[in-house]
Amino acid sequence: MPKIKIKSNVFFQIYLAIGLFFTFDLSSEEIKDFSIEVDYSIYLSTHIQNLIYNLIPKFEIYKAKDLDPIIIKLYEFKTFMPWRPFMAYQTPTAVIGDFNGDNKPDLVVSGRNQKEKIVVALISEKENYRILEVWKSPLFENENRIFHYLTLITPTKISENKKFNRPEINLKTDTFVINFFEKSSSIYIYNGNKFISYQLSD
Amino acid sequence: MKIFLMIMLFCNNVAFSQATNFDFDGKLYDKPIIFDKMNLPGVSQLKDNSIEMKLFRVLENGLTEEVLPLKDEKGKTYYKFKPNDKFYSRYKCNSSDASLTYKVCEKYVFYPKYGGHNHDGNIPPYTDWNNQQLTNPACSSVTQVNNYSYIYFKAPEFATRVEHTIQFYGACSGTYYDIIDIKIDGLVLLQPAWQDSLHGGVTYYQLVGETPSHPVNHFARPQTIDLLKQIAWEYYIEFPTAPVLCINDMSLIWGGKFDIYANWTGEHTFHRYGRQVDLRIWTIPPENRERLKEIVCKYGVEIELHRNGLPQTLENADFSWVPCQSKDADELDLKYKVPHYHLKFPKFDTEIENPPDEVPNCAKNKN
Repeated sequence: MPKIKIKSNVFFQIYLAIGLFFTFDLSSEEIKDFSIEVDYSIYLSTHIQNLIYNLIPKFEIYKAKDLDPIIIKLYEFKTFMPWRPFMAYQTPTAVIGDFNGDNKPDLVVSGRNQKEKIVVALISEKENYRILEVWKSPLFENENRIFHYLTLITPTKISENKKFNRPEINLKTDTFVINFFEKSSSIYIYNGNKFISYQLSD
Repeated sequence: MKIFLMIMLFCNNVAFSQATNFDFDGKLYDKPIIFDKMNLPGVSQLKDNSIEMKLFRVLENGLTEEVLPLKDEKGKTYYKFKPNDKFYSRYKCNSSDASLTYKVCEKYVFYPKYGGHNHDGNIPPYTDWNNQQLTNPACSSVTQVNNYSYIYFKAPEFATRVEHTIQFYGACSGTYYDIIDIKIDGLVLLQPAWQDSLHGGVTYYQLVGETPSHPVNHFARPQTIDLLKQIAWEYYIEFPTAPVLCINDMSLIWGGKFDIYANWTGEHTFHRYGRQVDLRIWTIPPENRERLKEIVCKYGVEIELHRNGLPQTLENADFSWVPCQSKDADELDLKYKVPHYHLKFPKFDTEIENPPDEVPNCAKNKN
């Protein structure tokens, strides 16, 4: 079966533009039944890396190979291309958006240390970034594939759902969802100080 | 050769006759969480009349009732509560010298593996009735002898076995043990379909969604399992060439909070009482889905689409560059957001639950 390999590089550096690149490797001339492999790399500036390591030593951002193949398959047909001129990029383990509404890029990354799976956010703050631990879950010895992934949500209205204690939300900024494949998901909204989560599905 | 075969047959017969609950795929026997390997002590017997110890439960109407210990199949005694139950220990130290005082402390250890949680990190402590975290050990106030003293507990929302070590200080002394099981009773395992002899060993559904933190995720009430099998079978008969239904999270062995992120909180919100079942949607062809809703509704079960993303997530994305235009846009959308069907089964008992379970309304299936 012909394969297309998509490579995406997400650069995230303070004060610098964000780049997103794709490479296509067509292994056959026949264009009929495609299998598309998605891979991506996330590059952080040294300053951003240090911020993360200060909070979580030995933090490693999950790579495509760490995800269960079924998660990567979700991205077969999903464009990594931004649909806004401003930054709005996402991979299953890193999402760039403007979470605090100051027109500067913020970042959320999913990764691990030796004991836990962790999601951290970097929120722009004047000339610097503030790091927040958003979510964590214990890591298991035999857990060699992860099933949770991030998705970007752009401003929208979210309806009320009483059974999840979720009010109607009129999103003015970007935000993100932590999804557990086929099980549940919660949206994380920045309130100026911390992220508040609301469940979307169960 | 015949002798060899006879020996083999004889050995097999012995092996099968010894296994009263044979587990063909090893699903349960591989999971230490199902078995009592911790050898915890049972409830202590009081040695004399100087000490009184009793447990009480708060009923839904606000009244209290004494809880008596039960015996398990090994003869060990234990107390049983439901997740979120309010209960309290009542003590009394009897003495002829009324000027003396006493105090009681209960040290507690949770063993959530009994409840189906293959994780035990950062377990939150008990709370009191106002949801304030208790210390460990939790202690009564210093009390005059011949008077009652109390320690108030609220059971956690996750299922677990708890070992209480009770220590008396002052006028009375001694160490005693209580075993408390916090659980939803009566849940049974949905076995793999091919083990169902009623349906000729046919794989008419598949079990999915096991994780290292919750390796057995397919427990439910017997009525839920009967209806679910019936639904899966009818779907299989009607669409024999389609993939069979893939059954994801149901409940854990003792029910209670099913914390999919292994952090004792958050999702799942439901799936506590063996009446909620998740179904994989993307293996169900779109043209079969309406019929599945009809089958489900026939049994009084509500089917709800749980989206993992928001409708707008993909609306603005440009797919024109993707070299596979033959794919249906709705399918791409559905697959990307990976929703699932969440089935709510009817309640056949009158037990009051805290928090209450969802009541199915299959009229909603048509929406």
